[in-house]
Amino acid sequence: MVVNPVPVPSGVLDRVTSSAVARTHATLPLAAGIGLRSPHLPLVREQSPACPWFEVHSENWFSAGGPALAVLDRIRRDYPLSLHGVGLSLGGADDLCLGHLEQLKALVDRVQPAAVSEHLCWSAIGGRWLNDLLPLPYSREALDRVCDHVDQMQEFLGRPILVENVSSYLRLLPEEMPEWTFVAEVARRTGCGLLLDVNNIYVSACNHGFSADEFLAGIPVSAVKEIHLAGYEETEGLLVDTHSRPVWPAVWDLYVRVLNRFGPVSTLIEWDQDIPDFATLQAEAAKAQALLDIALESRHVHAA
Amino acid sequence: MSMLREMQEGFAAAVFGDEAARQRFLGRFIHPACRQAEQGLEAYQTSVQANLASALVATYPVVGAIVGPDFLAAMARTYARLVPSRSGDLNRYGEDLDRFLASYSPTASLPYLPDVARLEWRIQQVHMAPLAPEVDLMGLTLLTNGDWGDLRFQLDPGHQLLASSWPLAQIWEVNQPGYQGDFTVDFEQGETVLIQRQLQRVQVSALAPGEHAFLAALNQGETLMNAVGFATGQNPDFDLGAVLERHLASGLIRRVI
Repeated sequence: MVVNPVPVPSGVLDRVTSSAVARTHATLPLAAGIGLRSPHLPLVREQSPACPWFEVHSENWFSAGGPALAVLDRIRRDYPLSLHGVGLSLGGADDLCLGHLEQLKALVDRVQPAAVSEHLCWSAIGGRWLNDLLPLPYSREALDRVCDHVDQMQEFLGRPILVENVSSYLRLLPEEMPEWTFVAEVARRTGCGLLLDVNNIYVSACNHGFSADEFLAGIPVSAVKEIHLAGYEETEGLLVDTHSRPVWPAVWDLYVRVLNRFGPVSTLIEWDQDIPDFATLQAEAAKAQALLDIALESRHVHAA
Repeated sequence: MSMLREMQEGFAAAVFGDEAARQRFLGRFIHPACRQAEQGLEAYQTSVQANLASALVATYPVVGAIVGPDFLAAMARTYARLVPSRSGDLNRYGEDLDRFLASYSPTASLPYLPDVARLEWRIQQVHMAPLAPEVDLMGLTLLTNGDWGDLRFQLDPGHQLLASSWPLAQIWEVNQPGYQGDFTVDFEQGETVLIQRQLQRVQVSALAPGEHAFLAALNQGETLMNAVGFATGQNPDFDLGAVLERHLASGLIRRVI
């Protein structure tokens, strides 16, 4: 049941469909895209390489100058695009920063992205930003706080958002529900979609000793609109979400189980440190695409 | 008080504070079944510090070239502890580095470093400026003798001016990657510099005496006559023709308004 459905003002859709320049991408394609970071911007701008869609970090474009925004406009014209936030602090005890919301809205209005997402985490306290994706206690208080902020964000932007589960290295107090119940409740209470980060589920499951499959079973199928895949690193038994290497085999296995449960879902390869050449990212995306194709084929068989 | 707020305040204190703050946080907010709590907190501490430090390193490459990467990394940790980040947008982080450096004793032997930081922060602002309007200087061709003094110009928003008692343009140039020329810098000679975006690259160049006053006046909407007045007040030999030609050619002067 959707408690707080968020209406999409018809004006938003009208602007998209009436635009002669921008191609309309109301939803992400059911294909494997790539997280686009600054080292690959020149190549994408100059060579328009094959990629079904891109995702960029919203905050990277908040204070971008005119020439950089012109590059983003160009990419948006040629590819479906998703805006992925890393700094709003949805789980913060502080109020949401209105300036941050305003900058995000200006960017959303400019880009008209296929999706807007944020993390289920906190990043700032007492007006001081830690500029990281920090863990929440899975408490009723934190759940209420996150839901209020998701409601506020969706109302402010005039469109539904997706929220992403993060990796965590600590289990915090008070813990009043498992993480998957927390995540599912946010979607149920706010009507937002979910961005399942399969690597994050795996990292947190290993660090805290829960079952990744139990996590998946707790997530409502219809809420999942996007999937992320990335590579973690291990130091002395702790898995750290570094986005610095290829997706691990165990995470590919979990991805297959995710596709079995949720069906084909738009998927993204993320790589944020030690970023390799673009061809390596395309090869990772092709691996995900091959698995997505099987899921698409199997849905087709079921439908027939 | 909210338990969530207490946890988050305790977490921030542990990340930026001393061992006692870490132990207070670990003792109070960690689930008893949490594995590797100390290691988990350390992973966050490392990651927060690394995010802030890499933003500072990216904004201040010349400061980094002068002090060296290891020194800069250590300084970035101190800066992160003492000067809170005030935005979720890391491009806004590091604005106060010049003031921080002015009272940072390990760099006291490099008295020009705060001005280098000031220059690099302005370079970042120039990168972030809106697009320049199309060049439209038709108004110049319509001039008859005598009315040029009333002209006003719109300049490219992608520029900044900075006056320094240090040779900033030279310091910037010799610290560019791949610089092959003479490394001698005359530290006795202060420079006023123009920071200008051209074709997405930002250039730093020294200005002649009077040129700073002239460009600043034009940028504030003063007439050409008044701008020349400010310039000749500083430099009686101010060469209007040469200065105008240079800034029309570089695209800094965009339009007659």
